[in-house]
Amino acid sequence: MQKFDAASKLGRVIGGVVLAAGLILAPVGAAFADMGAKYKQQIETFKAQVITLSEADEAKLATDELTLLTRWLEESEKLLAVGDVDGAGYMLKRVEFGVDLATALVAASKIEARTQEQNASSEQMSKQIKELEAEVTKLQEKKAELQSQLDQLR
Amino acid sequence: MTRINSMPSRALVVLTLAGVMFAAAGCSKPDKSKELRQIEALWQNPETRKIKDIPGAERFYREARQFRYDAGEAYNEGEYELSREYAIWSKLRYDTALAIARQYDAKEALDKSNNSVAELNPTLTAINQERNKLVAEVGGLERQVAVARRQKADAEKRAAAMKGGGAVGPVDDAAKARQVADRIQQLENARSQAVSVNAEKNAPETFNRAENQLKSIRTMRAQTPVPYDMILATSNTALTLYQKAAQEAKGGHAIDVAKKDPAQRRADLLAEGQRVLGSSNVMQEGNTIRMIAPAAFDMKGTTFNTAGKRYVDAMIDLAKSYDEFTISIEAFTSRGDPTENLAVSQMRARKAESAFKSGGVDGGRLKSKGHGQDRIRFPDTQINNDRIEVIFKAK
Repeated sequence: MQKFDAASKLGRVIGGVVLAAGLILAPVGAAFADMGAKYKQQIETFKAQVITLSEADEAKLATDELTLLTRWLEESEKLLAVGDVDGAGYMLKRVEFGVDLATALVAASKIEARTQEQNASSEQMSKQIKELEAEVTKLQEKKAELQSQLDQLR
Repeated sequence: MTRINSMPSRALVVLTLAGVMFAAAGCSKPDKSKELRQIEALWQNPETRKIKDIPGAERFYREARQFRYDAGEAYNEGEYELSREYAIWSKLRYDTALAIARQYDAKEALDKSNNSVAELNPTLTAINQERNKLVAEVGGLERQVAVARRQKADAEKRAAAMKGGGAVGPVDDAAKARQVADRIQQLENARSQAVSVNAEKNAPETFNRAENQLKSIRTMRAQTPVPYDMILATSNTALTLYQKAAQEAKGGHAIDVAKKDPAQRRADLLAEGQRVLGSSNVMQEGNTIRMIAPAAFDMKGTTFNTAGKRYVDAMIDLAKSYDEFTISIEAFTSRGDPTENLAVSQMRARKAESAFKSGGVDGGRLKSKGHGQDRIRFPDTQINNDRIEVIFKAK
């Protein structure tokens, strides 16, 4: 009888420990699953951003960065696939910063392109002004000559 | 001192030494990662700190510096992989700060360039107007010289005819004088008809030629003897010219009559504009009519797309038909970078003005301005905001 009581007590203790461990580890597991889902979503968002950046006219100025971003995104996916959620998180941080960098580079290039267009416009206008000035001089000469002819005819 | 002579004892010593060396090797730190060395070198350069003062770059600079410290600490604590990761992040943030600095420089250059264009614009407009004025004056003078030459030639011809006995004899004089009087009456009637439709304004070239002929006839009638045949021939020409001038002037005269009722003209312009551009794109605002060409450009583009070209061609036709209105062209963009969009809209405004001029609208009636992304008219359909708006205002 005594033997049976001891076994029963041990069983209750082990059961309690298992239950406590389950209660502690279940949220941790769920948190990992949540992070995985969140990272997968981030990967899709970043992929879309990289595509948009690659399609910009000025993307060639950020080619190296865009190549790196594509590689890092692939690595993030591989790490997630093998369950390395932390590793994927670090890699996605790089992607996040890389997207900021490529966006800033493309924006700078766009402004530089507009500046070039405006400079070309300005040069074109200066050239046009010079041409018009020459034309005005010729027209003034012609006007004087015609006026003189008219005076003679009258 | 105990001598270590036996084989087991010697082996024990060798193993102990190897163990000590192994432990020492295990405790020594590996070399710093390439990335960590790179950012440490970067921060030793005094130039690196300069970008922190560039507006917008400061945040990225601060983060780069923080990650650099984190990388150093992680290395000291033996977290080598983490140290390398922080170093990579630090470099990415520093490069972003550099890119922002580049944007800042580019914006300054763009502003400078915009100012230069804005300064040149009035000069270009003024000299263009002067050129147009001179072209008109020279054209007028050329016509006057041609008329004067013809008159001189006619006078010389008449003088030669008189010398050669070409004048009309006394027998026919009475009949010819009557004929001339009738013809001149016809001529006066034709002239009145032409004047009634304002031919001197609406068909100036033909009307002036007729007037010169009439002047010649009057001069010839005062001559002795009167060159009747020549007067009749000249009268025929003048009659044809007055009739032609009256015909040519009819269209312009009809418009002149309509212009006397500005409210009706505005109503006509509104109706015609709505017919060709769509009723939602044309509206009356007080004494002005505003016409909108939505989505006339591709995003950030400065050349009219197919729809935009169609809108502008229709507006040019209206501007020519309603030439008593001045034309203000306003160009806009969809949302984006304000500085960049201002430049884009200014280019769009210039393109539109140039299209109106090429289409035959007098430059003196035109003015244009780019407003960038101000006054978003279509909040739900951004592309429609890449547009021009043309305002017709009675002079």
